[in-house]
Amino acid sequence: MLNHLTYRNILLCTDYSQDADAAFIHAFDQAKKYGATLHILNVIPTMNPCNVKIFGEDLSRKKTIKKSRKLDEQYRLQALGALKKTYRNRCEDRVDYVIDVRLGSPDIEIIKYSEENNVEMIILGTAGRDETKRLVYIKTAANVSKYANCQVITIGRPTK
Amino acid sequence: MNYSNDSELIDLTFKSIIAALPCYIMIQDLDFKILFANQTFKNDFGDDITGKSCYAVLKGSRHQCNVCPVRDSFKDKGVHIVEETIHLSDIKAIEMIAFSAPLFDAVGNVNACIKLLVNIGTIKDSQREFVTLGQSIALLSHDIKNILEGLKGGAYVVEEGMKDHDTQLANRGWEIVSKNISEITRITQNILYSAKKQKPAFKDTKPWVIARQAGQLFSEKASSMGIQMLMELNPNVPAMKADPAGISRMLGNLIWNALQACQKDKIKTKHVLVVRVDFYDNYNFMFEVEDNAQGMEKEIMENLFKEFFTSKGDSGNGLGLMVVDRIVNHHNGKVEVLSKKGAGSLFRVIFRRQDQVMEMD
Repeated sequence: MLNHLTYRNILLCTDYSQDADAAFIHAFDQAKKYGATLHILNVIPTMNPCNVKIFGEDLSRKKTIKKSRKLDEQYRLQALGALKKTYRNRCEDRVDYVIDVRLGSPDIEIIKYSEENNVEMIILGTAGRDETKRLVYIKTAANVSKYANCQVITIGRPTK
Repeated sequence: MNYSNDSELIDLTFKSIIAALPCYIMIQDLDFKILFANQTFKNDFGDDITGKSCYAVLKGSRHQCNVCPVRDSFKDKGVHIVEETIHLSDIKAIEMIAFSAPLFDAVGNVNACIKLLVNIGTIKDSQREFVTLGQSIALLSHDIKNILEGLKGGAYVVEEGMKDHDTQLANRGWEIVSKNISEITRITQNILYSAKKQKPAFKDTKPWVIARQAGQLFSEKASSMGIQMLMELNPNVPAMKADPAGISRMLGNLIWNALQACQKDKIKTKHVLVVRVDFYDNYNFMFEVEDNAQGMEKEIMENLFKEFFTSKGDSGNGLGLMVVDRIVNHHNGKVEVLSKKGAGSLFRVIFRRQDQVMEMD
């Protein structure tokens, strides 16, 4: 049994919701406390997960896939820029941090990222964005809590 | 035409034949350095391979291979044949058969060897498919034999019950018969689906309706197994163009797998299976089948959709998920799997909504 916990890699997953903001504060504190690297991850959905024709019939499936992958990468780079803009100032010179944006289903990508980067603790918002502003409707927090192979903390926004 | 021209012509013809041969040909010296390579070889590995070691070019290694037909040819002046896996520059591995033979000089010394490599990837793939086919036939035969024995046993119990006018015994026998009939029906339908090459019959189908029907088919089974089955179906998910029988089969197979996983799990006392239909994002929707059984190891997850792969030992034939994969492909969908040992598994199938067209420039 563990008597003393140490964390070297803490993962914060953000979708820019209020819950994710609350989760960031917690993740930042934990990273500082343990001298851990804070990984900040945003997962955005791919525009064409099923690789079907989505730009009209005149574009072949192969070209559609190529075009949607290119657009995905553009969106990913934009999202990466936005993520850096939001979190760089809050982390720089205060904690060791890594910022990344992945494409796909949030639950699967978060778990994959945590395994690839030896993350010991995942922190994410409980409810995510409002229904009308959500990009993906899957139960990310519930699924990550159930299927991740490390500790998972979900944080709800404070009501007071 | 004079002799010299003839000789040039022959030389040219041989060179072009060697260049065009659909295999790699090289000549190596005693240090395994490439002295000559034909054009096919150069096309795949670059024009600058002359002078480099064979193992550096083919395997990206700094050391000699453990098994080397050229080394053997230098040693015993004989012809050697081995199977090799080589790496193309794009990290793609190819299975090849390598022949090596010594090249004798005028006094019978061997200072160089010729090596010929032929791609046998397709043959190897077919070989593996035959092995899988053989194994699957063995598994299916085993399954069918078990079911037939079950039917025979059930029929015997029914007969005994009828003979003794014992309705309870006859009913028990009938339960066994009926269970085995549904088992053989499921296997037969999966075999038929996996063998058929026909195009699925697409029509407007409401996902939540198919999911409800597929769930209902198993609700009694689930309750008899002591498994709680929950349906979380969003009726706002719009109709899709689909083969209803195929989608129903896909869900049926996923539900059946989840039920079996729950039944196999002797650690948890309460099992829950959830069937969901909901939006995935604004352009796609999803089916999900989730259980709280024992989950899967990573290795099993990686092989899930391989043909005839099963983690159920004697009680599975690997057809179920193979059929799921095929149906999903027919409908241009995508399968995602989440699983954790001890926690359970979630199978998610994503399909494009047909009512949403993406406007992009």
